Amino acid sequence: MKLPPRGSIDSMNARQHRFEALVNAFHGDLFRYAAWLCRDRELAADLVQETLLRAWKALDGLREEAAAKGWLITILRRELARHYERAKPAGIELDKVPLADTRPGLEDDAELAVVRGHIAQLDDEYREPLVMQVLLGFSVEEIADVMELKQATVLTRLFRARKKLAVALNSGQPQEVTG
Amino acid sequence: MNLSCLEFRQLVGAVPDSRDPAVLEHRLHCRACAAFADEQAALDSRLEAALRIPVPDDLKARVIWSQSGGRRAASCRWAAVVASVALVAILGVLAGQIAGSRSLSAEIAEHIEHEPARLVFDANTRVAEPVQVNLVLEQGGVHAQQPLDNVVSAGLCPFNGSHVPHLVMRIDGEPVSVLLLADEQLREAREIHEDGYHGMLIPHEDGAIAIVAPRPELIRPVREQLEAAVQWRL
Repeated sequence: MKLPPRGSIDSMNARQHRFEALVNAFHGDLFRYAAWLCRDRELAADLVQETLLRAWKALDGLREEAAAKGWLITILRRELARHYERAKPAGIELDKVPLADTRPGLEDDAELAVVRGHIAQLDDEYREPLVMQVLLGFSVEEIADVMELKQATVLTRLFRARKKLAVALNSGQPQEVTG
Repeated sequence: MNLSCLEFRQLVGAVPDSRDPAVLEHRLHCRACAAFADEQAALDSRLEAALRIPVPDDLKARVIWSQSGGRRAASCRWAAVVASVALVAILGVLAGQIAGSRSLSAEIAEHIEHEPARLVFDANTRVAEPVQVNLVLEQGGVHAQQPLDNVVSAGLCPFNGSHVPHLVMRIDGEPVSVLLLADEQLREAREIHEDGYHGMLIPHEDGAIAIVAPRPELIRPVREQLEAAVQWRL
């Protein structure tokens, strides 16, 4: 397909449509991924906004739409790193992390709250690859690429994450995430 | 390659939906490992449901509007918008505290005066997509029964204690500002003459529409369009 000349109205419209398609397709996954990384809904929303604005500026560098999710996740991880450079995270009380939407009428059921509590308790190094795999559908190779790890390390972390969760969920000790 | 039970469980414990032929082969012949794989699949279903936390309703609109605002304005102009929004927020709080002592017309003129960057555009400024405009309208409690034409800027602004849609439309190449005020009730239409602004404050169903333009003759086409399209959401 012949692309419209750079800078033309058609070109700007095509770029805008491409960006909006990315936002439509990925804003939800980006938000969830960010929220599970930083365990803060407000910060996660800010990170998604910053990530997508950076993506807009660099959109011409994205050659294949199939690579978009990994590209966006990489940008988001850098945004989070920048945020933590500016403001070191305060000590977060994990059992008080409001990951779920706590507005009236949107309460989650108790089972989900318990599972979320246990996921939130996982160390970052286990939680992040698990979120990438289960939520974003990343392969072990893709996770290794984004996290700059060996595939064997990713496999080990995924195995241990599930094992810890299985033990916690079967122990009958709820770790409910509350608002 | 033949897998031992330990190797199978290490692989499936890391990748429960593995389609590796060696994993599938082992699963066919080992009932205990097949049961382990089923447990892992069940665990993953629970995990996936738990990981799908709710996404804020306004996130998409927030991203698209911050991007479209950034594209239109130069960075210093964008900084001015941010500063003016902050100022408007402060003014909104102050206005709320002295409600009743000042006229609605004056507050509208003041709001527009403090967002000058919204009024800056040129012939190359793109008209907003109706879907973008509708996102803002819906967030502001407004349903458009028909698409609004010539909108070059739209956003939610703090005004008298709530967030209202603030549109700028390009009419004959000039900016016409619109505030859609679902919570303001008027008995009759009023003219706005404040600080060099010309406008109309028009009762519409149970709310009001404010239209402000640099010249009075630009108001009528906008009024007709809005009165036909705007419906307040309950």
